[in-house]
Amino acid sequence: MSPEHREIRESLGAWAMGHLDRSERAMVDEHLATCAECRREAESLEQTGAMLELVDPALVGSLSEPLPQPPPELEARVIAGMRDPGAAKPHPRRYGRRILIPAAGILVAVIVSLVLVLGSNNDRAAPGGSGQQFAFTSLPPGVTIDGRLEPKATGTSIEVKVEGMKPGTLCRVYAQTGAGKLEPAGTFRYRYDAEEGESYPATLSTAWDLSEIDALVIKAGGRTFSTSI
Amino acid sequence: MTMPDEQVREAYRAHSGELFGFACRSLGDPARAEEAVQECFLNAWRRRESFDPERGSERTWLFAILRNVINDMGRQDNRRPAAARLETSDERLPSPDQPFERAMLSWQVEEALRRIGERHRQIVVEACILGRPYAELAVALGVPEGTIKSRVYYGMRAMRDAMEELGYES
Repeated sequence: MSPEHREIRESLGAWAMGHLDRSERAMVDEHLATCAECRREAESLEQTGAMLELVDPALVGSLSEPLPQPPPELEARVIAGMRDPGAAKPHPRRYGRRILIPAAGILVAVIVSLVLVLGSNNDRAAPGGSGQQFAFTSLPPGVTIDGRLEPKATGTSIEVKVEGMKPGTLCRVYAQTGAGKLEPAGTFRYRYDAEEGESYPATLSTAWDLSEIDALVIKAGGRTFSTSI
Repeated sequence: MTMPDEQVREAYRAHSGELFGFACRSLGDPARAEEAVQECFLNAWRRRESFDPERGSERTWLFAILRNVINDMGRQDNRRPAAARLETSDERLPSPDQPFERAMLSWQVEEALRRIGERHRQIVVEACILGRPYAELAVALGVPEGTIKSRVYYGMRAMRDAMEELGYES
């Protein structure tokens, strides 16, 4: 490539962006009429230039900043969901239509006392099949939170049904283990179908076995609710 | 994605950050972005047999799945008056002119800008996005104006290469 050819080639970015003055552009156009290689390059850079127009100038300052990263526990939830598709369905299902699939060979008949950490100490668990139901009782007026824990091969699935909260409220669910540590089990937003008058449950999961979970904690609307398991 | 754990873990580690970032941008809510990314990988796992590397990269495939997940979330929200609404298309495969595709492409361009070196990024941002005059940049950077012109060329080439790495097909 001759120095002149190189100079033309290195002008193609400015040409593609429309940054050349009239005489410079005319010189490049003249070259492009006879050089197929530079023509292909110019057309390709025109496409690149068009894509740059999609970038919001207000965002360019953030381009050297690190991207937001997903929480570390999300990977475990994804893997758990693959191993057991029923364990980690992030999309809510209709509570009344769910099908509970007990783990094969496991016979659990448990009636567990549920004790609210915040508030009164007389919450009771409803009897369950292979899993364990729970119900929070010390809650704001009109609000109910209940659901079910199911033992899974990879941990425990947690189905939570909320009623009476402001629709769209973000709920963060944690499993409290023996060490008193809160293990994130997922987040969901309270969803309510006004037409059908029905709330939607969320199904989350944790890698901890049901026997290792001491309490469930839900943080929602700036408040923290907890129930012993 | 034919192995239960290893390849999915590998795909997750390679792409989850970018998918999560895009979901955050699209949904405006990290919690919902988590939900979308989780569903994206679970859908990918369920449909793993449909992945054909000859038709596109794993990354492109995952973004297509994420797009559908986010569209579905938008449709669900639209059926619930009280819930947050998303401005996403109702069509499963919208044209590039439609908002969601455009958002995805702009995200891809931003990701390409992150991937090119700082020197390329600086000149592309200043000259091509912010439109600063070459003469002004030449003074600011202490180089001849002709150097700015050639840097624009190499910066745009770097962008094109980065876009191709990201699976963009012109």
